[in-house]
Amino acid sequence: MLRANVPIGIEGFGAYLPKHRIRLRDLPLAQGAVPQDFEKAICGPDEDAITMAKEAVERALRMAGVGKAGIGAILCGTTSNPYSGKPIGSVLSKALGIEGPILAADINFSGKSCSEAFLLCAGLVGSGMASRAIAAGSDSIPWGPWNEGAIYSSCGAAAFVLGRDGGSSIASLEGSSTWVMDALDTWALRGSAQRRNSGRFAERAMVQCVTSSVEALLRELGLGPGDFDHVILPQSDPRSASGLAKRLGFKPEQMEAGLVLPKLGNVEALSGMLGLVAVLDVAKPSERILVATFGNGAGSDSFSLLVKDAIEERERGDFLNQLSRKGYVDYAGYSRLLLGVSVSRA
Amino acid sequence: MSASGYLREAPRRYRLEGAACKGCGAIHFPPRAVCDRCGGRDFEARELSGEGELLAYTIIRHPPKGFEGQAPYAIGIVQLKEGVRVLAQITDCDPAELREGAKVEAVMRRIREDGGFIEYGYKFRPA
Amino acid sequence: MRKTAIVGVGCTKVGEHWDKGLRDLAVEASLRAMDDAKLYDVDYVLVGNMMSGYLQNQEHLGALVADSLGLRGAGAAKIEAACASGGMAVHIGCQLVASGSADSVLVVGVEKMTDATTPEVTKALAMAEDQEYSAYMGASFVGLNALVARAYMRAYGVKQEDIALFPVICHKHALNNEFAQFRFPITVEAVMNSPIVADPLHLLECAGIGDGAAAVLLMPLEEARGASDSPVEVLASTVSTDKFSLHQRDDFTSFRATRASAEAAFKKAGLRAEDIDVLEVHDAFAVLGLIALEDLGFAERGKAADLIREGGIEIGGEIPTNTFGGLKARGHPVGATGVYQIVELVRQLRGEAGKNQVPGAERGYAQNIGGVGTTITAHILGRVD
Repeated sequence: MLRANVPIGIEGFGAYLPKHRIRLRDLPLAQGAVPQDFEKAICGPDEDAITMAKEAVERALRMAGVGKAGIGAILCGTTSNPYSGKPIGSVLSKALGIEGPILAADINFSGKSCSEAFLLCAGLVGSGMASRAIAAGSDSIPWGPWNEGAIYSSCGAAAFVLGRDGGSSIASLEGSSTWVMDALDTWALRGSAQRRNSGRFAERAMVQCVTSSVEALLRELGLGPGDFDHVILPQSDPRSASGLAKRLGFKPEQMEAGLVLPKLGNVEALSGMLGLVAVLDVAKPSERILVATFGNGAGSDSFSLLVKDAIEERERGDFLNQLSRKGYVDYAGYSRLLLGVSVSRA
Repeated sequence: MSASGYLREAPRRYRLEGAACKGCGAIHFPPRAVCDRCGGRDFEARELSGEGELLAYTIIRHPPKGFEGQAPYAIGIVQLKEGVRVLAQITDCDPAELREGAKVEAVMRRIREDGGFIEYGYKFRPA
Repeated sequence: MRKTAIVGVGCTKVGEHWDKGLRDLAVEASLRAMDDAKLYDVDYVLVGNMMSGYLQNQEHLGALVADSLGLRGAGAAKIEAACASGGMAVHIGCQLVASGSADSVLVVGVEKMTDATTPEVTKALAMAEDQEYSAYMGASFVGLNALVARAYMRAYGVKQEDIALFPVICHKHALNNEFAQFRFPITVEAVMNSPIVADPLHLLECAGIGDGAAAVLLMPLEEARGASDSPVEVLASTVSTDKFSLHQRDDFTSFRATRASAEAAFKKAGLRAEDIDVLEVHDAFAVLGLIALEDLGFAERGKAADLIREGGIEIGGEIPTNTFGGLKARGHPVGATGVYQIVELVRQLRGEAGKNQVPGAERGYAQNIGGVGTTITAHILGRVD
């Protein structure tokens, strides 16, 4: 287990979802292959991982209400930075007015990019290297011929302001764990648009990483599956979360609040972390939350949060509002948006 | 657009950084060298709320070079609650459903790619 | 200060001159003005032009045109004030003569627009606006004027059909102008059924893209009396500017710079609006024609449509306006437009306007706008008896 020298708390969180949605049944290759009532988000033509991250971070900072002082790092988990060789955090630092002595990096580990940014920020705060750190995650759907295959692939951003656990934090980080191994489950060669998958073998990497990470965490914390009010497990497709839950001994009702896949699809870099935002939007003081993420290639992060009384004082529900504030596009509109072209009919 | 010319304006473009006249308190966006209310030359930076009301709008159907893929798009004059008026695109909306008087809020979005880099700036969306 | 007179005028047809370049057009109009005045020795050449740098990669137009005309040694400069470049060049020319700096000034306005694609011309026109805070947002010049139209219609409850009557009359006037770009009649229905360029502006409410050049020769009035059969006096030449960007002004439905330049011009000339017999207004977009009639005092705020509906701006009406077709029908080669207006007023005051002659026209007024009401020039011309 990764241990911190000082207690760490979440001071604020926020998410951003673009307003466009497509029902998966309207994607031609999806016929019969996916639950018909699922939907996912897609960026507007003027949005990307940077603009979405900015909105999420602003919301998190607004909730934290701590101003901009003391921010020592802004780390963004992403697989779709519109730039290569220029971190999202550099633009964000200008946009937030915090350019200067801060660490800024993109963290890229597919589905656990955002949780990895979260744990790194926890490490910076926990070690005393930073009094406050922003962990963000933001992804747009990378356009490519294989995109039809990534049927659940979605768009959105989330952000968390981490600081020393004190009166103002809304949840304490009880402990965290991680597990990495070399796997060829799903991958693409650099420069190639083709995403490859090793079929049934791929599933093994996920099961091994997630169970190893979660079991280590529970062992270290001396907790059992029944001790958690909310559990968020990797949800890159409808089967993975329920399969993992069964294997780890979690019940469907523990998973309910954090399961965003049906309404939102899978925002790769922050898979799971958006589930955490959904849970924090409704969580009550003293509830315990388990988050476990999975990144291809492969690795898993897990951590446990204990919700504090201060959460009741914050204005919440923004994520759930955004989930319902939406407009549908058809497949033609979806294709236009993937190409960054307007869908306006005016 | 050059990289230097772009980044010079970034505080205005990314977060609506205006200026408040120390002499008479007038808020300006963009910042000015000389206050056109009192003639003062001393200002302090003031980040604007981004909350405002749509005063007038139009829908651009024949865009200038650099904006071709975006048309049709809405452009409007927004009166911010600080009293400042700005011109910007109205995004995340069906232009046909826009109305004068609508409440709008500022967001940072992609404007165009002109000099080989992405140019971001403020737009407004229905609040 | 000396009094200034116009002793020669000339212009090209406005249109798509595929076989003529920027220099060819400027030279053609200049030679016609020089032939008209029979004056071939000029102290100073001023070239009104907005977009040659972007559209032709050509600057330094003053010396370019002077040399092309064989005027080696003449002082020369390009004058730029967006769509008011022509009017501004005439204004500066008048200052040179009035101050005694020059005894003969050739002012030629020229624009060559058709060598570029429409998106390129749209971008070039938007260079009149603040690049950082207006053009950057994707605002086209048409779009900004569309905001004016919306605000105007909303403020006064004016129907678009009423605004559409303005270009209809301009097209009617252009039928008899051999230099006009669009010599065909249109109807209110045709305007309303033409495609929308930027809501609510229809294509036929907007001036088109065209090439053209117009030139005038200026001299001190005292010398002109001997040199010309029919000199026309410049009774006033003024300019005013407003807050640069439309959106930063309190009122979108009236142009302060029109009112200020008019007030100064009328004061200088010792005249009032009712003394004007023929009017040229900058109708790059139909609504601007209505706003000009109001700002100049020919109609009350929001009431210009009534004046137009009653025939007030037609030949024989209360204030005959844009009698050669205006920007809409004569055409709007941007940097030349302000000079075309002067050429046309001179033709009226000399009694050379043919079928469109305003009987007994003695005084004319020209309003030329750069940007969306940002820089506005005013010229009052008078017949010399």
